[in-house]
Amino acid sequence: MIAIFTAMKGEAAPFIDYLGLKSCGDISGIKLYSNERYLLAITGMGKINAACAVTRILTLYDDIKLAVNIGTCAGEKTGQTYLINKITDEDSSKDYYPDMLYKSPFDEICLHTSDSFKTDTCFEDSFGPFVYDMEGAAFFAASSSFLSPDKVILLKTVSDSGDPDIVTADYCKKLLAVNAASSIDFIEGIYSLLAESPYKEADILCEEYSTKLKCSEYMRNDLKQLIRFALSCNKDIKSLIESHLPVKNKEEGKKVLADVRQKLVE
Amino acid sequence: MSDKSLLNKPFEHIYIEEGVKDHPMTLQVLARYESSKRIYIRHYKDVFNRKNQNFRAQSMSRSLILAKNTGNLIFKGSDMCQDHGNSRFYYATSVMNCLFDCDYCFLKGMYPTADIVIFVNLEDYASKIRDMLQEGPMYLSISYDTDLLALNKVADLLSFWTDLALKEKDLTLEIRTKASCDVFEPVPNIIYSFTLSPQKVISSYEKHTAGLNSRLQSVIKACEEGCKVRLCFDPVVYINGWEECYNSFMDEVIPQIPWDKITDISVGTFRISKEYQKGLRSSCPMSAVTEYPYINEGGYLKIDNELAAGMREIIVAGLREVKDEKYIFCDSDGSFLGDR
Repeated sequence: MIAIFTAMKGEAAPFIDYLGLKSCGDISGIKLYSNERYLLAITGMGKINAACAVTRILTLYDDIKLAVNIGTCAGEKTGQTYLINKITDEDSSKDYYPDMLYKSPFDEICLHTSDSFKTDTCFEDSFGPFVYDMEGAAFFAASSSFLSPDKVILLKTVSDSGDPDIVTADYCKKLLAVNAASSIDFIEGIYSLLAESPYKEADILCEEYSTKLKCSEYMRNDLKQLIRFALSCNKDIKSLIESHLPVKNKEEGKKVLADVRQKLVE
Repeated sequence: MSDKSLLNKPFEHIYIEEGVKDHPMTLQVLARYESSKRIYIRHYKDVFNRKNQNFRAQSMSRSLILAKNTGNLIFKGSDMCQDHGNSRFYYATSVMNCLFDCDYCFLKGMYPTADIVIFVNLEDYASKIRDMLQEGPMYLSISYDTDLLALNKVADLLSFWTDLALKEKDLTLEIRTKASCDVFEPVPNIIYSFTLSPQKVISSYEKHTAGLNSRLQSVIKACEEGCKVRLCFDPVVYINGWEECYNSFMDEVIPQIPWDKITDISVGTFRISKEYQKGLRSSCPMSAVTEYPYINEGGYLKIDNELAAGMREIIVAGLREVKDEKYIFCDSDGSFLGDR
């Protein structure tokens, strides 16, 4: 599943429309929309709201494979959508770095985050140009406790150059609608690259034979490793185990494991 | 990962510590990667040491980090590495991580990321080494945490080390590699150390490295140029049909090598610190070499002793026919032939 987090309803609206998401209630005031593939959460503005919402959602939904923060920001080029490659929390001076593994149609830039509105027009520091928002750093910090940094994505569209009063819900909706399709294409491309667990087949076999061999937890770990090894080098571990079944107790199961191990590494 | 066309190419992103942005080595690297995106950072650890990184995903599209090493520059050699009889055995980490992607590599367990760091402040390494040489000759491996020959297309680090070796006669450098190379500078105190593996092992477990034939041609070329050459049959790893695989490998290697020109040989079966096992397996799941049910001896994972002895014997038996035992070192995994 893919989770999209926005701060405001106006930022969420183009994606709710584009993806055909349906309202699915709220959790502690976090409004949720979903379909079978996407969950969109409206976090509210500011770092604390963002961190709390992300933590809440990623704790509740353990099948989320990708977290995306979409929203508006202040910057020099109004209307420009950026993929964020560095985030600086202005309040703590801490920097965060999403992995930049995937080709994107968007220019990249650094994002500065702070809890107050930006009302000046300075968008460059000693490290280079940046855009500015009020959630990004918190979103990344919270998300990366659950997901690796290649699975945390931030897409920001410049809404103003230090004039937050012009950023209404309607304005956000129109602005983000322009790149909604290309944003979702980009997200879908990444999602298609996220592999299923390589251990799926091994886990199923382990489940089956740990019962049949009356394994303790320790023996189960041994069995799991033997199965993974056998599958990785195309050895028929099922026949090896089956030839010893049934076993009466844990002790007999242990002997089977020792024998299977011996035969596998010959 | 199925469609690699969706991935950025390696080093599409280069992270540069603000403090070294004008360093000559930084400028040299950036000149080779003009189109890469540059991201300026405060400290390399902010990128390198991020929590929860996915080595497996990152290794598909590595980033490069250019930084200054302000910590330890030279380390005492590990017990798991062969010292070849050198009591002052050290290794230098001017680079962390490798362009190659060997399934069994300890770097996957040691580092939290697949991204590569090049420490550009080589002048500090030279200074530290000169200080250490005041206390006597030293043997320094400079290619343990990377493959320096392979990396030379990214940053010309070899020139620095070669110049240093030419100036410091008490310094012996070992450059270990799985790359192929056809230009070698013969320096009496540099040992070019080639890892040789069966082609089946290379194809299965040593991604992006040179094929066996290219490695053999590099060995021959280095010998012809008058370089000191070490052969490393290390690690010998488990592979389906290992006996036939390693027997045919030795049959292929033995006739091609100019054995009288080989300085020495090391032989070792795979072993790794237990601490690295988790990282190794998660970065390379379902590879026979990572999933093998190793035995744990004193905190090190090893192939069962009997099997390891059988594997080693195939290599050593072949080598005994062409090289005096005193040049064959097997000490790091329990046995010992070399004469110190």
